[in-house]
Amino acid sequence: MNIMEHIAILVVITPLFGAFSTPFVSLAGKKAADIWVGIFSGLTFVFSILLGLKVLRSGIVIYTLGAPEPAIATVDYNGLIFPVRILLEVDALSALLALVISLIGFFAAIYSWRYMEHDTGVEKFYTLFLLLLTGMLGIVLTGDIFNMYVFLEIMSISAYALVAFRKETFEAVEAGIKYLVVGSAASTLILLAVAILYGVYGSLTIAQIAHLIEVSPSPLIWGALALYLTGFILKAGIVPLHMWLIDAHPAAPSSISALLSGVVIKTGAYAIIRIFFTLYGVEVMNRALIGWIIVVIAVITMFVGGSLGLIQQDLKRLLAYSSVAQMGYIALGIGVALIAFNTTAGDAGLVGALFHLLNHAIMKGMLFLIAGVILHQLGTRNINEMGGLIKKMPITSACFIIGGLAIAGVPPFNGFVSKLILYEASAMISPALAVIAIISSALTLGMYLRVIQTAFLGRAPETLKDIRDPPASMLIPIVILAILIVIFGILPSLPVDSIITPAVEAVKNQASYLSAVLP
Amino acid sequence: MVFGIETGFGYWDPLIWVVLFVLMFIGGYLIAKYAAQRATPFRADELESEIFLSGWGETVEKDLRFPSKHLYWGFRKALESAWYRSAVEEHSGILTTYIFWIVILLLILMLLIAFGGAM
Amino acid sequence: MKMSEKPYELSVIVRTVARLLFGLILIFGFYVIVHGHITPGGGFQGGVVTALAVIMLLAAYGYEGVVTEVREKILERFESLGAIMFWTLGLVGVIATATYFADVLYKGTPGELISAGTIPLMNIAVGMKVASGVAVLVIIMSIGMYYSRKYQKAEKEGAEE
Repeated sequence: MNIMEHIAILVVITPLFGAFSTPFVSLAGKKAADIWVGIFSGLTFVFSILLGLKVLRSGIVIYTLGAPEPAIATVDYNGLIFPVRILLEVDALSALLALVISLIGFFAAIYSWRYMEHDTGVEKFYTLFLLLLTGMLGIVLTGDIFNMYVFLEIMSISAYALVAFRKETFEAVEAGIKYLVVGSAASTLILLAVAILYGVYGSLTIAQIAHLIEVSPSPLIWGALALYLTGFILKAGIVPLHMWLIDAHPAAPSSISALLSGVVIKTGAYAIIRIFFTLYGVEVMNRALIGWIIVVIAVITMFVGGSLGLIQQDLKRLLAYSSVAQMGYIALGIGVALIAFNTTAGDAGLVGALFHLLNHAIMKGMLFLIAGVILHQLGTRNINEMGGLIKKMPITSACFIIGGLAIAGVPPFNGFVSKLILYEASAMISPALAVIAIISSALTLGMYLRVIQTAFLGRAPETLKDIRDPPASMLIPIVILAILIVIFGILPSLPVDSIITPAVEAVKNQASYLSAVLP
Repeated sequence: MVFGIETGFGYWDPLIWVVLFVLMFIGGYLIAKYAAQRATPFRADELESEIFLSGWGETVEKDLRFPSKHLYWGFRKALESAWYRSAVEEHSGILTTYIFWIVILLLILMLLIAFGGAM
Repeated sequence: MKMSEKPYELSVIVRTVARLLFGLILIFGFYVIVHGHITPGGGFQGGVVTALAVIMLLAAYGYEGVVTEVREKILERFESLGAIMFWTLGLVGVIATATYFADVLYKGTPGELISAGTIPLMNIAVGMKVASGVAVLVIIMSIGMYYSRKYQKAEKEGAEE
C-alpha cells in the first residue's frame, strides 16, 4: 500500500476515522481523547501537506472511489466513455483550501484541550469537531456535485450541533436553531441546483457537466446557477444572508468559532469560485453581469460588516462582523476576476481573493482563539469590562494587536498585502470600488483600535487581578499563527509564489481540469 | 528579490517599509528624549496633576475609565439617522427576516441570472 | 374504569401485542438489512425498521418503562462501531491494492445471499449505525418529553398550593 497513491482519500478518511473512534478512546479518560484528536488532526495536516506537494509536483490528482486504479475515472460502455464513479479531483486550488482547513483545524484541536476542560460531553465535541473537518475537506477535494452536497451537509450539521454545544446557555441554543433553519434552507437550494443539473445533463461529475455545458448550454442551467449562488452566499456569510453568522459565531465555543469564521465560510467562497470558473466556465456566461452582481454584493458586504462592527460591545460579535466585512473583500476579488477574466486586473483580483482567503483564515482563526482565551480567563466577552490586559497577559495581547492591525490592513502585516492587491485590481475596473474598499478598511481599523484601546491598553478594572497568559497548549497555536502573520507580511512572495499562483493558474485553466477526467 | 511582490500594476516591498519605519521610530524616540530633557519636568505630587475641568477644580475618580461606546461617537452620530437606525433595526434576530432575505436574494438573482446569465 | 398506576403506559392489549411483535420486527429489520443487495431495501431502510421495534416499546411502555431495558450509552457505541465498520470495509479495497471502497471480495452468483463482495457487509454496517442512531434519537426525544411532563406536573402542583 503506497501512501502517496492514496493520499487524496486519506485526507478525508483520517478525520472520519478519528471522529467515530473517539467515543471508544474516551472510555480511557479525557486525556486519551485529547491526544487521540490531536494525533488525528495532526495526521490530517501532514497528509494535506503531502497532497499539496503531490499536486504541485505532478498536476491534478484524480482519485476514483471503487475503481481498480485511482486514476481510472471513466467506464467504457459499448464505446461510450464517461465518468460514473464518485471521484476526488484535487487541483492546486483544492489543495490550498485543504491545507488551510487542516492547519486551522489542527491548531483548534490543540487549543481545545484546555479550553474545553470545564465542559461535559467532550467526546461528543471531539466527534463533531472531526466530522466538521471531514466535511470541509470533502467539499474542497471532491470532483462531484452531489458528493459536494453530501459533504456540505456533513459539515453543516456538525456545525449546527457545535454552535449549540454549550446548551446550558440560552444564546447558544437559539443561535444553533437559527443556523439550522437558514442553513437547511440554503442546503435545499443547493440540492435543487444539483437536481436541475443532473436532470439536464444526466451526470454528477463536475468535469463531465462542465464539458456538456460547453457543448450545449441549456437555458435551465442559469436557474441552477441562481440557486447555487444563493445557497453558497448564505454558507459564505455574505450580505444580505449574513445574519446567522452574527448569531452563530459568537455563541459557539471559541475553538469552533475559529474554525467557523476561519474556514467554514471559506468553503462557501471556494464553492462559488469552483462553480463560476470550473463548473460553468467563463466562456458561456455573461461575465459582465454576473461579475457586477458579485461586486455590488461584495461592496455592500464590506460596508455593512465594517460599519456595524464599529458599534459592537461584544468582542466575539465584533469579530463576527469583521468576518462579514472580510468575506466582502474575497467576493470583491472574485467579482473583479469574473469581469476582467484573463487580464492583469482579473489575475490580480484572483490572487488577492485567494491570498486574502488564506490570510483571513489565519488572522481570524487567531483572533477568535484569543477571544476564547479572554473568555476563559476573564469570563466575559464585553469589551467594556476589560482593560489593561497588556500588562496582565502580554503575549496574548501582543498577538491580538498584531492580528487586529493585520486584518485592518496595516503594513507590514499580511492583511495589507492582500488588500493592496485587491485595491489595485478593483481600481483597474472602477476607482470607486477601490475607494469603498479603502473606506471599509478604515472602518475595520476603527473597530480593532476600539478593542485595543478599551480592552488591552488603559487601566485594568479592580475585578481583574489574577489574570495571566493562558497555559502553553492554548498559547502556542496563537503564537504560531501570529508568527505566520508576520512572515506572510514581510515575505509575501513566499506564499504567493509557492501556493497562491498555482491555485490561480488552476482556477483559470478549466481545460486541464476537464481533460484530467475525460478521455 | 525575495521580499517584494507585484500587485497588478504596482510593486510593494515590505523591507523598505520596515527599514523606514524603524528609522522613523528611532528619530521620533530621539526627539522625544531631547524634548524630555529640555522641558520642565512634570511633578506628580503638585497641583498640576489634579484633574481640572472647565474652569473649576472637580473631584473626579482617579479610576475613571473610558467606555468603548464613546470611541467614534461622531461617526456613529453622523450616520445615526441615515444608516445605523435602520440597520440595527434590521438585525433584529427574528428568524423570519433571515428567510425573508433568502427569498429576496433568490428572487433578484433568479430574475437577473436566469434571463441575463447566458452569453 | 380505574386509571392505570402508570399513566405513561398504554393499555394492556397494546403492551402485550408490542411485547409479542418486538422480536418479529427486529427479525424483519435484520432480514431487510441482510438482503439489501438482492431485494428492495438495504442498510438504511432495514436499520429504520429495526429502530421501529424500540420506538414501539417506547410508545407502549413510555420512557420510564423502557429506560431500564434499553441503554442509550450502549446504542451510541454501537452507532460509532457501525461507522468504524463501514470505514474499515472501505479500507479493504486500499489494502487489496485497488482504491477506497473497491469491491475486492468474493463476488459469487448474482441473486444469491452470499454475493456482491463487500456490499452486504457494508449494508450490515450501515444498518447497525442507522438502527442504533434512530433508536438513540427517539429515546433522547422521549427523555425531553419525560422531563417536560415532570416539569409541568411540578408546576401544576405548585399552582394548586
